[in-house]
Amino acid sequence: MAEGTVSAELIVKDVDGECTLIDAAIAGDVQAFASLYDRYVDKVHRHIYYRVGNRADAEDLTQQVFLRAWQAIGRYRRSAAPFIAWLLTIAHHLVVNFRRQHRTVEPLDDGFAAGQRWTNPEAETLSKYDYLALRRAILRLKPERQQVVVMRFVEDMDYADIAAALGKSEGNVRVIQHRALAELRGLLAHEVKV
Amino acid sequence: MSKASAETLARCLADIESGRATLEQCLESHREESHDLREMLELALAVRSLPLVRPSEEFRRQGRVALVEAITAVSEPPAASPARRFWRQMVEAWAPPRQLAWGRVGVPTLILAVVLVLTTATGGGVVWASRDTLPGDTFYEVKTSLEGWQLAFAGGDEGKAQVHLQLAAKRLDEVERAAQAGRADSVRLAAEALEHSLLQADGHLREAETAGKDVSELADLLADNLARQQAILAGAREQVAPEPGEALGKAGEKAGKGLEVAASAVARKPTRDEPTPTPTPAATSMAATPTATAPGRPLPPPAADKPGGPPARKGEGTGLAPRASALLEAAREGNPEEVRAQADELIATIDAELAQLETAGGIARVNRGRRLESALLEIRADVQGLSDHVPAEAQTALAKVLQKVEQGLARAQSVDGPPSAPQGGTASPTPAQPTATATPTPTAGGGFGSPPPGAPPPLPTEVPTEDEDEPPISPPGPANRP
Repeated sequence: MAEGTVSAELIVKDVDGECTLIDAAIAGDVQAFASLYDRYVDKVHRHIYYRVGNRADAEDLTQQVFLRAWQAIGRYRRSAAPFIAWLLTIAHHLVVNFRRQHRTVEPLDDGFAAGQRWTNPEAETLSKYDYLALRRAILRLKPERQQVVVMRFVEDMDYADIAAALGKSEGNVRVIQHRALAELRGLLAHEVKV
Repeated sequence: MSKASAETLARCLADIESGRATLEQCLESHREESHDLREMLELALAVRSLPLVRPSEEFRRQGRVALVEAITAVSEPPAASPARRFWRQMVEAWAPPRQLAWGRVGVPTLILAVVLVLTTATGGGVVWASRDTLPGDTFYEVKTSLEGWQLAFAGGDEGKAQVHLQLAAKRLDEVERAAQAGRADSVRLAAEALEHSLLQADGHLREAETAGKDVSELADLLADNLARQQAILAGAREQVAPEPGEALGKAGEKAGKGLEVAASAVARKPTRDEPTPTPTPAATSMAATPTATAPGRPLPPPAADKPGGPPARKGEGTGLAPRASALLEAAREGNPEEVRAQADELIATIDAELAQLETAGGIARVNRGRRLESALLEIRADVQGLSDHVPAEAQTALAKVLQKVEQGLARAQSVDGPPSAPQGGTASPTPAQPTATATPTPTAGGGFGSPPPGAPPPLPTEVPTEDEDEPPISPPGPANRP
């Protein structure tokens, strides 16, 4: 995809009937929207979980994301961003507001069903990072950087989709990514010193 | 930090992720910045290796059921079932203020609201499959999760107050049924939840009235239900009285406190035939009435009152939200002229808010100060977040806004509490017979001591806190703005 604002250049693909479901949901089909919920609830929940630090708040906010999405789905345009990017944009706004109300954030629980998905041998050399410290550091990132880090490295979204979700250029997203990792490094270094 | 470094990092990441290169190979290709690059890449890969979190199956299942139920209630045409039709009418009655501005609420809607509370209290007209569960039952959480959706639907303080009242009615129903079943623990839990709902309703009621909304109808709704609540609680006490235990005593206290809250709200209700007094520093939370507005530039209507306006947000009622949203929108669209115009509007609105703050009194003043502070903090964060992304010619306008925001914050944060009452000469706003409605007195049977009907309790002195149920802000986003 070319640089610049992405909106009109996204190629819309009806992946697994997603467009059909979205159209039906826009037309008021509740079951179609429920199918979209089934499809994306894990991702939305995971995104929020890594940004608020605990399961209970993540579940509450996930519910709100889908409710907001239903209320606003008439304004969704496929040409502007993939549906998941749109959902995560809603999630971002909710998380930002949540964090304003809850200034101190700590990862509170680890009781989730989880699995290691990164099998690259490089990852094995990275055991120097404590997961909990890493999660704490992510929670302390500035919201936009946090959003990019979670979208890019947890959700495995590509730059084009992240750019669409943020309303920025891909180049801008890469800059934010760089700044986010630098901030993360600083936060972790500070934690080690403390 | 250069853009080139960011691009190098991105390229290396892509190569490693796709298996085209190893970390060491990437570093070898970029020796000049290998130290920084190594740390960045290792960090990125470490984040990538974080566990793949999944929500519980229970959450997925219950969330789906609740979502479908909630949106069906809103969007489906009335079904053949009278209960479904009733539910739809209920939801419409609770619609956010942009559909149902409080000031425009008609008598039929309020009658419907009364009916809805009474009907739910008796267990009828509720569509939830889990309606008959009691606290402690296996599926009770299903019911409460559904209620979370109801609250999420409610817009503005009036809408939330109505929903909390409706939930209070449910809890009352549970108290009654749990008492009939002799389940003391369930009675206690339901009574605690009842108190919580009434406190929340009362808090929203206060917020609404402080924001200048006419809440007298809602106070009427509370009054209409007081007698019924007392009758049910008294009945519950008789039902479970033979069973001794601490739980019952606590239930009585909780329920009694809940009733105090409700009675307090009724006591605050202004008499419509009388002119609203000008607030004085000694005034109580009822001081902020629609007639108590400051002179000068009128405030824009709250966002939620405007058809098609942005969703209600925290700080609503300050009048700042729609202005701030418009400014953010203009900045994101990169339109310097519009940014300047909206910035001027926002600054004028902040000035008007500060003028209003000066004239407010009592708890209303504290509340207004807090709301203003909260709204200004949000605006500051939003504007600061924008600063790097707007055209240079709009930067000055944003800087002016930030300057005004800082001034406003300093003023709002200086409002620590209600000014002390003037010495003598002013009639006390405290109800005449506070002793008649003081702390509920547990009775010998387990204690549902509650104020007698018509005897107003003392006004709570605690300043209502910010509401946790308020829907989050949804600032204008990129191309797709939810």
